[in-house]
Amino acid sequence: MGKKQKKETQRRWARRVSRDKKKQTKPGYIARLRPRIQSVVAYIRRNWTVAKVCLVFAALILIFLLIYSKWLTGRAPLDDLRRITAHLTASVLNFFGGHVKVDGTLVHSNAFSFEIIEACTGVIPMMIYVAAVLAYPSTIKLKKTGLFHNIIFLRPLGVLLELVIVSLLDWRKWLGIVLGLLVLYAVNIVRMVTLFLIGTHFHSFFNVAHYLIWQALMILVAIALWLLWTMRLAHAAPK
Amino acid sequence: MRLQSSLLFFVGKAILFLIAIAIVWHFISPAYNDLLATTANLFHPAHTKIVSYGQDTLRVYLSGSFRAYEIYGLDLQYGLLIVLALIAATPGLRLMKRFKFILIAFIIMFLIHIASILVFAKVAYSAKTATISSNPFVVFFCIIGPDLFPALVWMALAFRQFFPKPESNDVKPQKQK
Repeated sequence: MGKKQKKETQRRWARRVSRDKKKQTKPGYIARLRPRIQSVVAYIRRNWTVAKVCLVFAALILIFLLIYSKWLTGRAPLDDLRRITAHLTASVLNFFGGHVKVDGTLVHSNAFSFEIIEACTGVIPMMIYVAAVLAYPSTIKLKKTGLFHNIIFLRPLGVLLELVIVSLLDWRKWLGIVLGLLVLYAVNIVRMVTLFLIGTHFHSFFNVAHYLIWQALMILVAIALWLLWTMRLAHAAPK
Repeated sequence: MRLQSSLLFFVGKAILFLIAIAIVWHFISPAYNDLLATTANLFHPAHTKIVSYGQDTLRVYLSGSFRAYEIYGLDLQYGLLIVLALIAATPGLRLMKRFKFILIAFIIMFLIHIASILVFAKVAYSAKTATISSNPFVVFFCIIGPDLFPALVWMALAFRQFFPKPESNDVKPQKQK
């Protein structure tokens, strides 16, 4: 073996040894990430019930979002709800001695007027409330058929199907949804009435009351109703 | 019964905090609006400019057009007030933890506001003259988001203190070997 060849093989060996050393001291990016991924997966497994609630809630919000943007905005059902809200607001105001008239979705008196737009129907807090009630795990037992659960790609479909069946069977969810929606709508009418009164008598305070206080209060009421439902009904003994 | 009374006490406290914060916020909101506009302009999509206009409005101007799309600032900002009121009213939190949560919630909500404005600007630019109020992204960030995000942020931060633990009949996952 010539000197040149010897040197070349030595250089190769040195390169290989240094490469191996580097591999030993600095594992690859994926290898470094693996324990973290495993710990996240383990955390989700430990809190699977909560994770399922979050996933189902997100899925329902997405479904409601599509329904709202495609089939409700500027369409008949929401326009009807706007008109009904305007009529109810005017009726309550007139019941307490106001002289208020309704023109489509416009509520007006000599001193003040406002239009009931889509957000004024309280439909968004209602959607969030319904999604939260439906996503909350039911105590009803359901025999898993294994039809979707055994196929990993179809498992989300299985979870959703299970949720639909359980929700249809669980009277506490229906009761919670119906009562909650009624209370939210009633609170929304109170909101409209008080805003009209504030607009008439304390106009400078209207923006604060409208945007900052009442919009926030509506979602606060939705959260409170959901908490009340979970405390009173969700853990009641199943029939 | 005790649970319901504690819930009632919590909601009452949250409403009082909300009213107090809303009154104070009314004076802060123009400055916050300026801050949102300045920060959003750092990341704004090309060919748009975001300007704080008047007391509470953000305007998105498209280049080559005098048309401006408007977001009413308070319409976004009330979400921040809900989180602050909810955290302030959550029972069983120590003072330092409460302040920490308030700071975290403020930062998260600020980032969400910036994201909402940027999404609005992006959609406004791609829509040009079309109506954008039924765009799913605008609906999500500017209509559902202000109601949804505060509830989620509060749940994420404070659910251990207050939330009832969900129970289900799920089979418990096996321990990892």
